Amino acid sequence: MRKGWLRLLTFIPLLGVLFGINYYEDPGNVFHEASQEIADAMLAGQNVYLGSSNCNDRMLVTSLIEGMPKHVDCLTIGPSLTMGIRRGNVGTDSYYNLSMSNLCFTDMMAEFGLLELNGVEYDRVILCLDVFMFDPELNAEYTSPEMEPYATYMLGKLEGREMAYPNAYVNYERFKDQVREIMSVSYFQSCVWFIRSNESLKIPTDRWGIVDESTQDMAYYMSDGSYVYSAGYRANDEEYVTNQAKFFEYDVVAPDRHIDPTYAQQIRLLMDYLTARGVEVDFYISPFCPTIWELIQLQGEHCPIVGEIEQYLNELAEEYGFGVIGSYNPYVVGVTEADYWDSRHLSHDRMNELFDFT
Amino acid sequence: MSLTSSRFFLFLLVTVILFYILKPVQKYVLLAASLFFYLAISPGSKASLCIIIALIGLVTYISTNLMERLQGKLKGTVAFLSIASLIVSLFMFKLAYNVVNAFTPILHLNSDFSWLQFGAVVGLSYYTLTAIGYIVDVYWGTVKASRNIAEVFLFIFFFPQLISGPITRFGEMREQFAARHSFDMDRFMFGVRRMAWGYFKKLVISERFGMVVDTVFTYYTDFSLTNVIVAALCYSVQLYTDFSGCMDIIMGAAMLLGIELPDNFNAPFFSESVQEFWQRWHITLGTWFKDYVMYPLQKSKLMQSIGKRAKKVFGKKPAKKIPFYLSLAVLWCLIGLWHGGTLYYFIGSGVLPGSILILSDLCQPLLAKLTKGLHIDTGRASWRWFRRVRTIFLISMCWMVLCSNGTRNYIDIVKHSLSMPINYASFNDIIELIKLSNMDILLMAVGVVVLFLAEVCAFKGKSIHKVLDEQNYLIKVGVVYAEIITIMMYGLVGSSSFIYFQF
Repeated sequence: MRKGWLRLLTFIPLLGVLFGINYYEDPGNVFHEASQEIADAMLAGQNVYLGSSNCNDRMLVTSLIEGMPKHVDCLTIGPSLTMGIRRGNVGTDSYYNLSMSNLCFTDMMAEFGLLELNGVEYDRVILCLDVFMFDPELNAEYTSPEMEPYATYMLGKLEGREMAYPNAYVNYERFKDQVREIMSVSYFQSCVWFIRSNESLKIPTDRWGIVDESTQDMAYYMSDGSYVYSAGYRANDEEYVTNQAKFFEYDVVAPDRHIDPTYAQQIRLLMDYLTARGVEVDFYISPFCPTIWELIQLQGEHCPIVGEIEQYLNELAEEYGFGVIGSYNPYVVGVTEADYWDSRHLSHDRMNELFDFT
Repeated sequence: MSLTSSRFFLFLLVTVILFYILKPVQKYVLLAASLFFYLAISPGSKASLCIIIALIGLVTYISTNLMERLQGKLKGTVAFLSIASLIVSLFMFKLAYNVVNAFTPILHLNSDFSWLQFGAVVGLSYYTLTAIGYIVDVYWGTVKASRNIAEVFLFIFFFPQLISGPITRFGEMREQFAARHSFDMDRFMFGVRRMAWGYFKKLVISERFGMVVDTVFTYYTDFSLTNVIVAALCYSVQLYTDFSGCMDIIMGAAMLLGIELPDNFNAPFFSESVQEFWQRWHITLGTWFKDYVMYPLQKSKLMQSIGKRAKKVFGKKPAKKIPFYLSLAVLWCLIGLWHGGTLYYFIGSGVLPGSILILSDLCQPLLAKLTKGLHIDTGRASWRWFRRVRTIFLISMCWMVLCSNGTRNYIDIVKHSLSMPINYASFNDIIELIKLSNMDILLMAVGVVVLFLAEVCAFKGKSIHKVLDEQNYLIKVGVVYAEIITIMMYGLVGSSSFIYFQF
């Protein structure tokens, strides 16, 4: 019997390799979380590069809101599509960009909740409500435990309920994530990819640092929270964009996705809340590139959500006296594949040339 | 929680530890683990799931115990009512929406039937059949009804078999659940090896063939008839490695707990006829439908009277076949319906295979004459291989409807393919379009070779696991290491769920 149990030990090296590599390489910074330190550096006016790994942008935005001045002229809230709107583009230096990748309805509500909880006043919001934000199924897929308590708080507040201060993303939740990731084969594969691209087991740079001349080609956050893609990514050409567009994930917009009426109603409540506080809102609609637009048109009535959102935002803007910047239709805006870095993201320079965010 | 998630491993580890520590109450540990697993793996409302679990479990328990105390017509009425209620719940929760949707365009109905769309009830088709089989067995007197309600619930909801079978019989499971299992290292290692093999099949082989299938059938306008046929053959490999891989994981997990589940596959691609294929593919579903639907139907008064009437019209010999064909047609329609009630699944997994079976039986005398006339030596290996390849081709053509993902799509794909029999794109262009790397192609080739060797062993009556069992410990560990390292490095983790989970 004892010998039998000992045979299980033959699997220890396999587990050791899995756990060890996941912990040491850690390309997602799950075990080397530094969002608070990064946010502190940004709030001190420094641009911060992400060296060997990513950071948790939900935690970073939370830390930014907690540390920002109690009055700000302008904020941008949206998905990665708005990450390139910078201080110089909005006509004021009192500005923060709180965009994050795959921002969903919960994330958006959570950001307003965090601003409310931290007593941050703001005069204007550039708000990008994309297709992720109007579908409960997609929202469930993209909701993160870090943001959920703040979203629940904000929704309660909008509905006029008495809400207690929410429990933050506590250590227990983070520990659960770490246990999951240390055992994760897909995380291990990310680590292997990371090792292969570095051609070394050793991590080549710091996990993050302050941008200087030697690190300017890396992806980095500017001190206002906006994001600069790496030089390599910025160099993507028209052919790359067109090829990527052919494989766009249509399940995000089709088949037959519609605006969820509950979400539409809750956004209306949010607009009432912002109007009551005297906040000016500009909705930003980021154009699809022509290849994707044509493919969406081919789907015809099976892809109603794109048209519905644009119409809904225009109606909302008219009703509340808000502004609308942009359109999903690339021919209305006048963009081509050459203006993009990938199938969905306009190059930041071109975006700021085309649209007036002041 | 999915079978490929770390949560599942954690769950399995805790269950195994508790199972062997709490030896006197092993049955209850398994039941608690099964219910927890079911609630964790199912999306949607947990309250509705609890109601469904209670409904199916209680109907089965109460009706079987009632039947043992009753005789004659009353016993039959209880059996009928309980089976009818289970079938109604299966139809309502799983099939109704798809069936109505399939008829909506035909009948030009404009009503909104979305109210029939209940949340996904994982595994309902499997455990409803398990429960019905048990009720029928008790009605026939083949097994005694269990007085222990936990035993009945565990039999229906035992977690490894819950989501995609195998469909078990009470007679073969009862003693295993009742026994107290001690930890057996050899059995445990056998379970680990079987699970590793299942994950290898699913994550290394199936997912890569799935890439070919998805690309060709989604962007079919870029491909020709020959490409579509190759993709349909790839779907056969994808489906087999996906489903049998899932079975290996499930049976390996059950083996860790000392429970042996019946095999669902027996080298199906070595079948020389379509009939033989269905005896080797999804065995527990096929035997369930034969035992509880086809044979009783064939022996029924209705079929006997049809046989008698046919005898008067067609003569003795053909009249014998008519009840058989009718029962076969009912059987395959039900199997088609069981696959979710969508029109394309009904056609691809019911109507087409059933029609091929009936046609091949009808043509059998003609084919026998033809082979004799052509002086074909039917005992030769080349002839057997020809028959095997023909069977794979016929099955793949049935399944082409399934990978088309809809009847309308299937028609469009067939139309387009016939208009472009061959395209002159180079192999490299096609591979680039599918986005396969050289490593992917190598892994697919190696995977198919390994799979073929394993199937040869199975065909000769000795599974690859049993062959490995006879090797020394180092070889056994070496194989598991090779499988796990390949999965860790190249497994397409998190890409998709198992195909048969949807049923």
